[in-house]
Amino acid sequence: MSELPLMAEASASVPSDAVAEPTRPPCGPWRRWCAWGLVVAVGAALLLLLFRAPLLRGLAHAWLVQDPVEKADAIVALPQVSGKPLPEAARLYREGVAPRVVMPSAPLRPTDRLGLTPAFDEQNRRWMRELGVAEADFEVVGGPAPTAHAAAQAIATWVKAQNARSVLVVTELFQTRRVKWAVERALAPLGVAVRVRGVPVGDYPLDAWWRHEQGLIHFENEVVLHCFYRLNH
Amino acid sequence: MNIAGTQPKRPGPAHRFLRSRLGLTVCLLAGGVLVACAVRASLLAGAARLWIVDDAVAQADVIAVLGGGAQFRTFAAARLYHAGVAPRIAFMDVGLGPEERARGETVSGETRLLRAVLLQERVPEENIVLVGRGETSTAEEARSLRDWAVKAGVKRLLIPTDYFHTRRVSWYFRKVFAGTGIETRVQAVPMGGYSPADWWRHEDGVITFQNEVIKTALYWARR
Repeated sequence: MSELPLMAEASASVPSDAVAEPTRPPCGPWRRWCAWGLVVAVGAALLLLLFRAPLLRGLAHAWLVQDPVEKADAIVALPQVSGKPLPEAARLYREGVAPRVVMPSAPLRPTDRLGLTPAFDEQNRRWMRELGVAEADFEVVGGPAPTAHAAAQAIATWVKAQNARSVLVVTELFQTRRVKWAVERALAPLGVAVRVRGVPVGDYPLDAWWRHEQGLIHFENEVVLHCFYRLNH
Repeated sequence: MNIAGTQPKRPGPAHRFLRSRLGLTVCLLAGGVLVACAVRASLLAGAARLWIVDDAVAQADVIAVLGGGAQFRTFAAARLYHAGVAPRIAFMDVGLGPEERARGETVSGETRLLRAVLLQERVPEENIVLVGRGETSTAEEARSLRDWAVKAGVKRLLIPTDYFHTRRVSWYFRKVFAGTGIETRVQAVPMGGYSPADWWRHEDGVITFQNEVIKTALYWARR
């Protein structure tokens, strides 16, 4: 009963020309979060777009592992199916960084079995001879290793048998992170020092990898494979 | 009615969060992720089965061997030929690599290898046809094969290719061959050490599948 006069007073204080605004529900925290999220996402996308070149260049450089070259007991060339690391491995051997070069064995392809193509192991052996690595100093180790994980296991077996204390792995540039992780993991129980050097592959410059289809595929595949290794090994 | 001196218990922050819309969404998402993790094998195998196109093998006029598959597509084509599925095999003139180009070669090693495998697998030389000119992609191969097939009076073309490549090949070849009256069929061929039931456990399975998803998306975007 006592509320009625108060309401009358309140309505009397409203100017006659004022139009009653429709009542709006208060903006809940959920909507505010969404709005802020949207603003932040759009801003981040714009910044990424604007600075994509230095960001992508920086991303590639952050991804790569390039350890300093130091004397080692052996140079390991990986992967076996791409001849790309071989010239760099041979160069380091000739410079006296290590007394021998080892490479895990590559699996045979169907056309190798038919004698239509030379097996990777034979091809690599021949190439290393041509690159000035003495035949006695080049060794293909282990059974066929189709993956970096299998290759790391083959290297571990060889290192154990040879009592080696350090290895320098030469591999493709974008693979350096995954290869270092896999080889270190296999050799860690043996207390062997692992250093990794990357060599560029493909016809694209490292500082513009995202502008070339091959560069995009190489980098993206490596990120996926790195995640695969972390999850599965 | 409250007992004198006691306040009604206010819900704690965790309780309030769970009762909010945000909390409900987070719980539903987390539940979804947990369920997906628990049944990931079925989900991933199902995704592969959905992706792979494997048309029923029917009598065809030609079996087409696409480039880049000397290690498995040529063998599958030879098997189909010997099974009497088609009387001829067309194989692609694959583009030169940078080193081959630098050496001044005119026929790529891949093209020579495709031919050598077919001959080694006892496919008579007169039943082998070289198609195209230095093709470097599935799209170029589809166009070259269409031009050749129209001239050669082909009515049905069978393309054996690896599991995850089948969807892009099936879609793109149908698009390119539309209006020619030529039917294209795709057959899924095992490649590498994986199958649709365990592809995510193998490096090459994971790489091939995700590369194909990206390439198919690019083909769709550029169509």
